[in-house]
Amino acid sequence: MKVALVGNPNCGKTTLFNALTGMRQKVGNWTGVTVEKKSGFMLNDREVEIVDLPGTYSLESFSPEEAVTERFLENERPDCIINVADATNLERSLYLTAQLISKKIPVVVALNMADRLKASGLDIDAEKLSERLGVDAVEVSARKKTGFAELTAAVKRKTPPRKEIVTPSELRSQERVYKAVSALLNGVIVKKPAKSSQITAVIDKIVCNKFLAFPIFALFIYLMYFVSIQTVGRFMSSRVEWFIADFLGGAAGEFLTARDASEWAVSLVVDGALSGVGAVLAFLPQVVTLYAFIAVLEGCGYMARVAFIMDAVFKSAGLTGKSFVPMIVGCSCSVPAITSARTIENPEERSLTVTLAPFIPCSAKLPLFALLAGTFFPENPFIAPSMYLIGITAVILIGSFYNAFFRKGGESCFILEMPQYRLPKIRSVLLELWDKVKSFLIKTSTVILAASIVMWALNYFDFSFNRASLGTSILAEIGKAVAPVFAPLGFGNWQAVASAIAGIAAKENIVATLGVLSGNGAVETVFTPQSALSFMTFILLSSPCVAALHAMRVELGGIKPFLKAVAIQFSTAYAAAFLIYRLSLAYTANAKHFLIIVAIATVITVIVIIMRYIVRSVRLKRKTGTAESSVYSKAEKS
Amino acid sequence: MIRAKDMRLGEKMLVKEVRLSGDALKRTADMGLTVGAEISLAGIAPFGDPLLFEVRGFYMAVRKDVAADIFVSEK
Repeated sequence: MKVALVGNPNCGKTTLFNALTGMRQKVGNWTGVTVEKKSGFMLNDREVEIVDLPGTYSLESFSPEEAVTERFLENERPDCIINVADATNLERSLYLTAQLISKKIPVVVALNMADRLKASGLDIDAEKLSERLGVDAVEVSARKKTGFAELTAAVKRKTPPRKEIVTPSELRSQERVYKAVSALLNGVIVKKPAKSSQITAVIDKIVCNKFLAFPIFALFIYLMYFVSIQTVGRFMSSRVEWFIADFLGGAAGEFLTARDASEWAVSLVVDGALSGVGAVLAFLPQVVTLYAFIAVLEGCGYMARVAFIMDAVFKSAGLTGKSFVPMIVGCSCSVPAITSARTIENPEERSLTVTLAPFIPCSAKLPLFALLAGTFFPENPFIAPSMYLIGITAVILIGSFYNAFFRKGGESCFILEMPQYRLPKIRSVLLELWDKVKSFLIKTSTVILAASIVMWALNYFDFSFNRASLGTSILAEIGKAVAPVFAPLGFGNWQAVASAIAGIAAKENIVATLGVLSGNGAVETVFTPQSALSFMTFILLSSPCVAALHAMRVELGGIKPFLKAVAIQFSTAYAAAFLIYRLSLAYTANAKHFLIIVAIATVITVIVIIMRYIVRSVRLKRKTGTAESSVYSKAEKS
Repeated sequence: MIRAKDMRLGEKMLVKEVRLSGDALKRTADMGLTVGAEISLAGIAPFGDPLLFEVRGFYMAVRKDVAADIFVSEK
């Protein structure tokens, strides 16, 4: 028997799913965690298959993730629907219930968080509610795992709805449905703001405060990076790398040499596999810590506030605050960032977010920044963090540019529920971390190991498959062929270009490849300080790794928009690296060049601003024009 | 009758008229911001936009341009 789990975003649906099935699924307090439907079998009854559908406010689709729910109910006709309703927010939850009942599929309403409602001194009359709705209503607590037996029993009865709350024609008017629901709730529950919503209001007064909001946000981000990259990262990384590359590598080398292994085999294991994988694994501790922070911020509800306070910033770029969450997620990995853009309803905005999200450096790019900044600018602690600034500037600039010149649709709208704060469950945070660690280890042992070996082979052999001396290898030849393209950016040497190519497989490979190619990590031979800066910028903005490219292709839904997005990323990277290289060169050497470039940059900026102003004002005039006329017609009427 | 964007913090009003269309209308209505609903301004983002409204027992962030097309009056 197949049961669909349907409910509003943030109603505790995924928590209930996990509790009912014992399945491990990510739980987040940010709408859109359940991006695709997932299914599992009920723990206490293996015959019942539960399908967890994305949270939705209404059955008529709005965003693509919500359409999943509607399509599933129409096409699969499940045997029963468990409609998860947030007991602390019943009015809005039952709006969806009214729509579900009209589908003529058996429905059981699971009144989740009833314990929370009781904690705030209110009570709910489930029997009365069930009678008025015409379907079974059962109190459950997904967190405390109570009420499951009653829920299962009700589901197995498969009672079809006994009546309709509203007529099909009324269903089309949201106002009528809400009126009906509101009348129906009379006497079922005493309407009073819940205690926790007062706590939420107090916290919001602080974290969304005019003066405190940004300092608090900056503090969170700083804390996140200080702990994960500075503290844990610095302490653990060198030790892990030493263990794998030096300790294991040395032992393996001795072991193989003692058994008369050929020179290339020793090199394959030590220089290819172990040093490549070691360079990447070194970086696992900080990724895990970073993930932990993001999981907690997401789980407690702070991410929605971030979207709220950042919306104004993104509005100018034709995006909404919702685009900011993918960008934060993107700090750890671009793949979930790209996927999480699905919660954005406007298709144009969604494609733009998918294209721009990889500008935020994922954690795989950090070792490169750490390496180059540490080598060339040991005195300057701002070089690595400035990559985030360049990333976010690129997002806003390219977004505004697109908005001013290419945007087809109208203005975007930003309408978002602010969920109540709740303590994230440690178990679900840990489960999520484990999933991330697992996928990281799998990636390391497959893609990165393979890429390390391929890169090693390309570097070890020349085109006739003999041992290459430095500079005659296959990789060197490819690098040499492509290098002139990057000469204007300052890193037109084959080592840098070959590393960038290796980075397409996985960004972690860049550092590993640089290490192999420059001969034991002497990156000073590959870059000058200025070209290092330019290289960092290029890697920051150019196309992400294979996994993220694949995610982009899926989300953009076609090869043409995908190639367009990649082209945008590449040209942005090329232009930004060029500017940064020329600017820094001029800054350190020749002031005349510096002035010329400043002049050019200023001219470009001014042109962009003027064009934007013109486009905006035209659009604004159109908008206010209609608004005024409607006010007048209203005035005439009254 | 005033526009919802001109409400004072904490003020409780009733929604009288919604002059939105398209996505904005559908989204706000699905979430319960319909004529007759009680609405109060619960917060303002640091840059003055978007606004946070309390509607039917939960919080909803809405941009000023949308709130300008929602008309409210005293109960």
